[in-house]
Amino acid sequence: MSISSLLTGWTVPSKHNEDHPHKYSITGDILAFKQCKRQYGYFKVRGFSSATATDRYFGILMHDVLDRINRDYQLTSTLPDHTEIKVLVAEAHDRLYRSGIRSYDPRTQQERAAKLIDRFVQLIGSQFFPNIRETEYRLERALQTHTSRDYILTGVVDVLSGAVSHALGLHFSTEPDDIEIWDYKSGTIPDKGSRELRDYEYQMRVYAELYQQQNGVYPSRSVLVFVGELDDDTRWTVAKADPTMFPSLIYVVHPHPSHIQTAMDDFHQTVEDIETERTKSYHLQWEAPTHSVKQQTCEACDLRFNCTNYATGAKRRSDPL
Amino acid sequence: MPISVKAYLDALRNTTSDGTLPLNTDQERAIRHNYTEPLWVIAGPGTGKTHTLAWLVFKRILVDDIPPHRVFLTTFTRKAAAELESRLLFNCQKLIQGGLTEAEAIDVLSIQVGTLHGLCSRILQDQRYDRTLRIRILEDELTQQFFIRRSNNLLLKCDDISFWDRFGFMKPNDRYPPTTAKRAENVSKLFNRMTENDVDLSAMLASGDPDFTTLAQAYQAYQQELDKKHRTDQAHLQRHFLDFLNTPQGAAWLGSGLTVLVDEYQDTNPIQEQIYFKLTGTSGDLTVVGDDDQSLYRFRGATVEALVDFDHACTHYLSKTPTPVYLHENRRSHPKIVEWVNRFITYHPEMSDPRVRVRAPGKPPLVCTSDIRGNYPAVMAISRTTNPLASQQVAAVIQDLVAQNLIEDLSQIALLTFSTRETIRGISAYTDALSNAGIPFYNPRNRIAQRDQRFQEMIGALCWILDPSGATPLPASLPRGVPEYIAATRNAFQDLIMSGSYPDLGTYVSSSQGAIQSAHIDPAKSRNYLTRTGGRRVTLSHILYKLLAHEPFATSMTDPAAGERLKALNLILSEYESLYDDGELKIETGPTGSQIEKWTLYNIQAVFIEGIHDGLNDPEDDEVSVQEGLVNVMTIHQSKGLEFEVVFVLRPDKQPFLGDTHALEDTLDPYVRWPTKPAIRRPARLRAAEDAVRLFFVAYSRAKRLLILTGTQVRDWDRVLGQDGAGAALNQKSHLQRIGVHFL
Repeated sequence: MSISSLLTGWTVPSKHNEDHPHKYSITGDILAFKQCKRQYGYFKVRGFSSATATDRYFGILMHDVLDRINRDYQLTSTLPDHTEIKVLVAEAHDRLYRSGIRSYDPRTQQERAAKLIDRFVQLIGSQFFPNIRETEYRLERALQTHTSRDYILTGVVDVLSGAVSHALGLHFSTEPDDIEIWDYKSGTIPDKGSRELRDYEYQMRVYAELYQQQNGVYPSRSVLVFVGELDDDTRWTVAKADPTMFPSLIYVVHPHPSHIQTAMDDFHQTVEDIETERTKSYHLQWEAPTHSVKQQTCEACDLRFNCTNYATGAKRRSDPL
Repeated sequence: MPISVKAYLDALRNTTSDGTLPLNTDQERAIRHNYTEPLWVIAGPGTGKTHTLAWLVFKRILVDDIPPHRVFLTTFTRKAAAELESRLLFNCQKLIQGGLTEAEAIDVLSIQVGTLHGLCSRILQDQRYDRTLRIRILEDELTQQFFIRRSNNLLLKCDDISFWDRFGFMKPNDRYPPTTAKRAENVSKLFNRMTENDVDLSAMLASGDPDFTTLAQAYQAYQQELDKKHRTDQAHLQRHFLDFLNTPQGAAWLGSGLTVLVDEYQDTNPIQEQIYFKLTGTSGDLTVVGDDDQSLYRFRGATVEALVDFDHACTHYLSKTPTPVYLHENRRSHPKIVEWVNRFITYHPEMSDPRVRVRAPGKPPLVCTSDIRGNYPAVMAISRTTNPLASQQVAAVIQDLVAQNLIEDLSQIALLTFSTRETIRGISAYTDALSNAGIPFYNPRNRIAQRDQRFQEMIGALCWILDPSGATPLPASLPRGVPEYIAATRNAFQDLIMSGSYPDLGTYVSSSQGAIQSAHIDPAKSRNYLTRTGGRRVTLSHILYKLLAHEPFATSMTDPAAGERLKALNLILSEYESLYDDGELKIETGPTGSQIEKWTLYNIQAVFIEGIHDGLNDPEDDEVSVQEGLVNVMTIHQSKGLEFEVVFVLRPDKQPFLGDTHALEDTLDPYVRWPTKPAIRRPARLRAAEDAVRLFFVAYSRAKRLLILTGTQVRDWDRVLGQDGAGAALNQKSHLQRIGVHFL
């Protein structure tokens, strides 16, 4: 007997979709996806754990030490010297090491971090730290793509006030009550016109828009710091604490409304692309991108031995170990 | 400027298309409640507690003038937290669209919403609390057990059967103490409970009782190791947060207290209770929402008394009396299912006790307000002499529902059970029947991932690379079952290679074996590591990814089931490696060249492989619990918070039993520092009975249109059926038919 004969008055229930909007981090999701959707999909969405932690280690180490210097400065109004920075780096390393965040050749990485931070502090510390208004300021807004898809976009920046860029002798005009939002990259500035640099510009413009949505006004400018630029020993020797000798250290992005709109459109589209990937069948998801990916990114990727975008990996697949 | 309650309720009316208030009388009462007194919301299944909570948050902000960032809203799972956050966003948009301009100024995303663990972690990081800066969290029990193994906790060496028996870890017929792996599992349960119950270590040490002295010393050693390794388990994360709140830094952050709203309060443990009251400060602005009848997590330290005796806790901490509000209008289920659920929980001899509160006081029965009607028997049963016979009927019913277009998608059907293990003692008859009938299903908690062929082949490949002969003498004997599992995986890999289909994989494995054998050993060094060209040390994870690049694993990575299982392997390996030399492989001189160092090999087998060999849950997507297009098979625990049109409750004879959880509650009781601990505790036998009743209450109340109990021997279902309205037992088919159950 069919069960339907028992179900007098049964109404066919419609399928209920309780999907909620996804939260996307500007660097952890949007930029990571734009860099390589395969790497992003496997490690960020599916949640694989990378066997290569080197990049993560260095970035966290730099961040933690700069953060600590700032906190100490807010309390004591003094900046650490070379020796003290080494101690701070060692302490930050110890925390990372004990908790299992490791690096290939940690001693070299620590020395490099201490050198870069020391030079950063020497070069712009006295203008930078006194003007920090808020570190790790959380930007978070609910947005909609052009297809009316809801999502939440998040980012973290430092907020500075007081025309720091002016104090650093940068070439544009500033006012004393300017608000700037700053973000840091531990590497060097990408080539002019490169896809990578364009994505960083988009990132800073989107930060400016989120800041505006949260505070009602745009920041005067967004500032990217490429701390890796300070790694040039020859230049450092001749610079003699003159910031202008490192023209690529600080990269300023102005919040021009039409540029911001372009960046926002690009991010909305990236969210759409990510969502589209999510809805694909499992076996079709997160294929290698068709655009070129930075060689450094591929070489550090655990998936490189089976990736259509990295032919060298396939050749090395059969190498032992 | 705050708005009046009336203006707020008017704004809520503007959010609906017909201008009616989107709240029933009980919900409105909760919303209207004055925030200066605690609010005690007892919310039965399907009564809209999340809906109420979300609107209550906006009342606090708009009417009571609480800044959004001072609202602290927690729930039990990340999925529920994401849903709450989403609701807050959309509710705010609805208010704005309804014309409430004051809502435009609300920064919804500054509301602190999440699981308690998530919020603790975030706040500690934001506040740069020195003790937890960059601390690594042991995310789950298996990782915690790895840590306990790695730190050689002294209880791992405890061979005293009476010690293990005292804490409920021995079964009546056990003749030997637990294996090392089992000890690590038991120790993690003991330590978590000790942390959550804030046990008095000094009293334990001074007790003169050798078992408690040993336990306290082992716990202290564990805490020291956590500090040394800069790690925390989930229970200690809460401890750190409470300690932070008690520092001047924490006090400055907290100020006079937050607006605290807690969902699923029935599953709160004592340390969480202390955190919530501490966060509330002296303001009294604490709202708890929950259902004692749905308390499921005693085994993880939850104390249903936190909700049932919430009035006592408020008196203790705040010298205030909470206002109880009962949400009892069920909008989820067919009237006959509501009737069944009410009868089950009300007429149950084990759910009332004149000496203690077993259920929340004054709780009314559920009232059905669902628009699901239809004059049919919504509660049915399938009883056959064997499970295979019953399972065939289940498959037939599902096929019929599909064929007759009575459902839109298979995901509207759930098979719920106490344990989803696909074994003969479990529910294999049912999953086999679905397979045989061609009905696709999803069973993420079946704990058989380790038996998956591809999974075994991968373990086998790793074993063949690390130990080509499979006969390297180890420095200690392996835990029971591990040698057999390793042998099975080696055979699986050998069969794969012998098939001749994967020559590249075979070449890679044999060349890697050769590379290890010919690796250079520097006798001057106390430790030698396996390295790649360029000098970089090789880890097991590196080899795993290399293997994943070869067929057949590369293709398996694109299959949802196999791919997710291989990911689970990757994650467990990653946690293992973070504790064991970063997974870097040490080498030594062997009889025929270099080989993996014996202790390295031993740890990989005795800890990592042991950790997965006898039961590994399939991983779950945190955001999608219900898989579309598939019948979802899940534990009743997993179904909490979900609802399905058709629910089969499989094998009602399989129920929670008296176990180590109840023994631990009793044994540790003299040392527990829980300020609001009830004066009387029911015997363990009755507490176990409560657990069974609550579990099946949850199962029954998931059903919207049809509930079907399925198994053998109705007389064995006894406890999960309750009594009829006259107090008579229900343990025969005729009894159930008498109260309206239709047998298929």
